[in-house]
Amino acid sequence: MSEKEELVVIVGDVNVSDTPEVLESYSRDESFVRQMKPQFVARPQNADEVQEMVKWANRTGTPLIPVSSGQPHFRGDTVPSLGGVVVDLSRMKRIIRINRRNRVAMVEPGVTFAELQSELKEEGLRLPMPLCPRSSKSVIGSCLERESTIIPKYQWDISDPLLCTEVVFGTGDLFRTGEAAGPGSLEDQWASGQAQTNPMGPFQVDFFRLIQGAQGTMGIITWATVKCELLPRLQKPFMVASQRLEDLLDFTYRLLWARLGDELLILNNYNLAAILAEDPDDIKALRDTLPPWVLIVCVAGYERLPQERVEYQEKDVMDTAQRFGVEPVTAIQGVQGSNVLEALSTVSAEPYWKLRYKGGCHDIFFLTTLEKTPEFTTCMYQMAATAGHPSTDIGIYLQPQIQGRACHCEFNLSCDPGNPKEVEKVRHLFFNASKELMEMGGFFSRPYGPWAEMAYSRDGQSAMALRKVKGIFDPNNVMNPGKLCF
Amino acid sequence: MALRGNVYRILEDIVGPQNISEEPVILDTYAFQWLAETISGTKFCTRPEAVLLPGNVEEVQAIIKACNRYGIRYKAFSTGWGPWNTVEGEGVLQLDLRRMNRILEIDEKNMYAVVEPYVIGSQLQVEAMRKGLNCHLIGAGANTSILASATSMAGYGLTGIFTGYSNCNVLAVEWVLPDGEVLRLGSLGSGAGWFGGDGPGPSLRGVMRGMIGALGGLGVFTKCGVKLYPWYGPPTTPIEGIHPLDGMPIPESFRVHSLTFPSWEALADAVYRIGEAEIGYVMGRALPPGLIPALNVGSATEYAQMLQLVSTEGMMDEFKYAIQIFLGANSARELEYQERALEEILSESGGKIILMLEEQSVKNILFRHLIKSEGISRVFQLAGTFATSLGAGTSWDAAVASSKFGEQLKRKYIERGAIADDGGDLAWGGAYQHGRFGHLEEIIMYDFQDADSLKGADEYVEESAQATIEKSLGQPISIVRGMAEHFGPTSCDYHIWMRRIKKAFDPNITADPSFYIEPEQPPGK
Ligand SMILES: Cc1cc2nc3c(=O)[nH]c(=O)nc-3n(C[C@H](O)[C@H](O)[C@H](O)COP(=O)(O)OP(=O)(O)OC[C@H]3O[C@@H](n4cnc5c(N)ncnc54)[C@H](O)[C@@H]3O)c2cc1C
Repeated sequence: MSEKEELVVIVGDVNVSDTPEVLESYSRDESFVRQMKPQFVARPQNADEVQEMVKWANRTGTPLIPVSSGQPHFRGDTVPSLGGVVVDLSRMKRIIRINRRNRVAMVEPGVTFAELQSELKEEGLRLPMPLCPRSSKSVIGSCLERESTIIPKYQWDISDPLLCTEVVFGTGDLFRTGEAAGPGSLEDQWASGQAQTNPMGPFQVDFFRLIQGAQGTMGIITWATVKCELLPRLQKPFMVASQRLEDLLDFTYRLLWARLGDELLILNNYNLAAILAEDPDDIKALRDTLPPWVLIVCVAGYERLPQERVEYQEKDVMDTAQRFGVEPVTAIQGVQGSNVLEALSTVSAEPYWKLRYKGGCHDIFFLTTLEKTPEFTTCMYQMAATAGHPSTDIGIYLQPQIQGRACHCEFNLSCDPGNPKEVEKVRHLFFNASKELMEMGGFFSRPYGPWAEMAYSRDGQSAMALRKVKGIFDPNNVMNPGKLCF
Repeated sequence: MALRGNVYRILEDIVGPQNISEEPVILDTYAFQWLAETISGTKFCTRPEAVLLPGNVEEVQAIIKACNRYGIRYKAFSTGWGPWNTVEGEGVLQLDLRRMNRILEIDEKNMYAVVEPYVIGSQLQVEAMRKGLNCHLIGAGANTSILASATSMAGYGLTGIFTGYSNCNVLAVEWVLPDGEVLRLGSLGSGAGWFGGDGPGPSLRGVMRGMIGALGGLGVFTKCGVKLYPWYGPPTTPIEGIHPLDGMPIPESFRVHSLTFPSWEALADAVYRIGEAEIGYVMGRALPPGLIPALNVGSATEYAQMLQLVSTEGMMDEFKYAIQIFLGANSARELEYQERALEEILSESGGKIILMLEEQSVKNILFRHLIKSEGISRVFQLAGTFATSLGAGTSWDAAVASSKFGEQLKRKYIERGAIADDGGDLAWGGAYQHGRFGHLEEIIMYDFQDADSLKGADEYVEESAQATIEKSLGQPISIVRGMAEHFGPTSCDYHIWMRRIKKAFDPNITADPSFYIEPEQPPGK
């Protein structure tokens, strides 16, 4: 049998593609990562088929590139480095279980934010989201990437909201992580009241942490449980405008300490305009009217005394603001807080907000602490100036994480993909700024594409330790080879 | 078997003659341990070959490198609360980390601290409170190592509703791997500071520990960052009264209550609602019925009399479905909101405040006990010692199911006279991260000097562990030795993967594997 025939046996005729157009579409993304076509794209429907594919890959020495989200992709992690077969999980779309009592949902990898949120809403739940994800973004994909979410108070651990998983390791073995591992089947566990809410273990190893952040190099997740939160009954968003980023920081720190507010993030004028406006002209116009920095904080009431909760939180936020000399308002330059909140609570409208201005966008992001973000911002602006990239076209997104212990710092460099000169300029800026920001102490904890080499050359011990882990879970290096330090 | 002369000298050169000992009298203090009788039949576990007190990461690294060179095993010991820090087999070194006792940093804004292994809970708490912060303390007490709990073992404590679980509180870590190389997890390895323990790429915290921890089987952790949490009380916390009835005045920003419910189901509902309302600074079953009579007695006889008294007077009913809750808030308004929310929850679930425990002096005692995590000594006082069982980290409903079962099972052993009669219900525990998961462990008290009692305790622990498999009650915390072999086959064969981790990270098997996993599968398993 040919390779294609073998794949057809596993996933069925209509679920294997090798037409030039399909292969072409998986061969590149919006990033600067080198293009390469896969040999096939296969679309399994369940864990058995995934497992068969991984076993087949081990037998034939074929690389597998797992993909959960739909296009466009941005990070290069789903572009094959060494050819092979793309395992497109978008057919695995079941929401297996939503458990209101334990505030948890169990989903397959093809489930997108929009799909899950609407089901959760019926149960009075919601999932904390990344900043306006694209409509095709898989929930599991986002969780596996450790994407920051916009409600820092719910992020007890950087791994949140990911809980238990079912995974096919690179060896072809099926495994369940966290309390889902056992004792007992899922049904047995449900019968005793368990709901797969504890991601740790089983027992002495946190297997899920080794799969998260792995860019598909350790195995393929076939379902996961995610931590959901109560749907607010009442919400009241506020914004604080500032000319200087520094002037927002102490106030933000205090909100985090006092656990005030749910959504809590800082955007610069470009990014606030980009998530709200519909086309390039509107973005530009809005950006130019907005103050350079806007802190967004939303207070909420849930099922229990919602009005009272919003009232006390609002008053406490106002008192705190007064103490720190800032002024939370419900509208800035005609932009209503409620519109901002609406944008933050849903997936991005089409086209995806990062692509709306010029058609292309390159993100530089890393972890740091909030008080260091002004230094990084200054550096980014200086580098952009040197590169001749207009600083007004740089989007900035600062997201406190782990309940305020760290901060996700993101710069979005928009560019016109149809303008080779501009692309080249942005490419240079992207590489140079990444290096410089890393030098300054930006922690590139999710090292995509070219960042991997930079990050692991700073931390050789982690690379060595990770290769040991890789040797255990994917000894034949069939899972997305060429990524990270593998 | 003594260390060969040159090896002793090599180790002595690393730590200095003051910091190494082969004296049996010293070594036996490490072997003398809680639960030792369940391992060896005596109060002593295995005597280590020598004890070394390294003073910094370089010394730890040099020792471990020497161990790899000369084929010697070692076991780390931070504050040493339990047999898991003791060694197994001949010729194993104990690495006592007590000289590494500094709080290296408290980052007030970013709410974390960096600590060495012998920094204990109370030491960090006192410093943190001065800055409006607090740390997660485990039920074992403020006397235990913050780092050991964060990096190596368990992490249950009754402020968990507000301060989480130790595994989730750890940030960057400095780790001397079993081969002697130093790994710096997360942001630290990239030279970016202590704020994160994950990446670049997959998080090696996954190898470092699971729900339970590697229990010394994967090298030595020498520093770690841990999350701190807001403290809404004053910078210093005066203690008033005479031990054991000393209390801590309750600050304006706190409320202290004990609540009772008509049934397990009502209690379970209330805990879910408390979690959802995001209220509570302390919440859990701090005083299960079996502990109530222990509050102010001095002996087992008095305990039995008191138990009899409170049982016949029907007082135990009040405590049967009871929890303690402290509300703590950043503002008077928030406190008022929390109180109103609690009132509503009580009326919905048929609960009420236990008036008997509303007296100010009692509340002050409770406040001190639970904020400072004191009072664990009571479970030793009555019968000599205690053991624990069940206690999976799981949904609150499943935790309740397991404690209902535990009580039933215990009665059998109480009736047999094998373990102390505590009425059957000594299920201790709480809910973590605003109720995202919970745990209730069923504690038993027994006399370790009495062969029948010891046998009964052993059997109870084993039977309860077996029941977690048969009844699917989650992953228990009771069996720590041979745990992987026992539970692996019931939990996706995780022990096979764990063994591979052990071999990959510790090719010479120098980190004592006895509470982690043996490198080879024991025959017959
Ligand atoms: C009375 C009592 C009550 C308890 N109650 C609780 C409780 O409520 N909640 C809870 O979570 N646990 C509890 N425990 C269990 C346990 O003692 C704790 O989890 C505690 O964290 C152990 O800390 P320690 O410093 O005393 O650890 P140690 O005994 O020193 O160490 C614990 C384990 O970690 C390893 N270790 C320690 N330090 C290091 C290091 N630096 N590097 C590598 N490995 C290391 C040791 O080898 C050992 O296996 C209790 C124990 C006792 C005796």
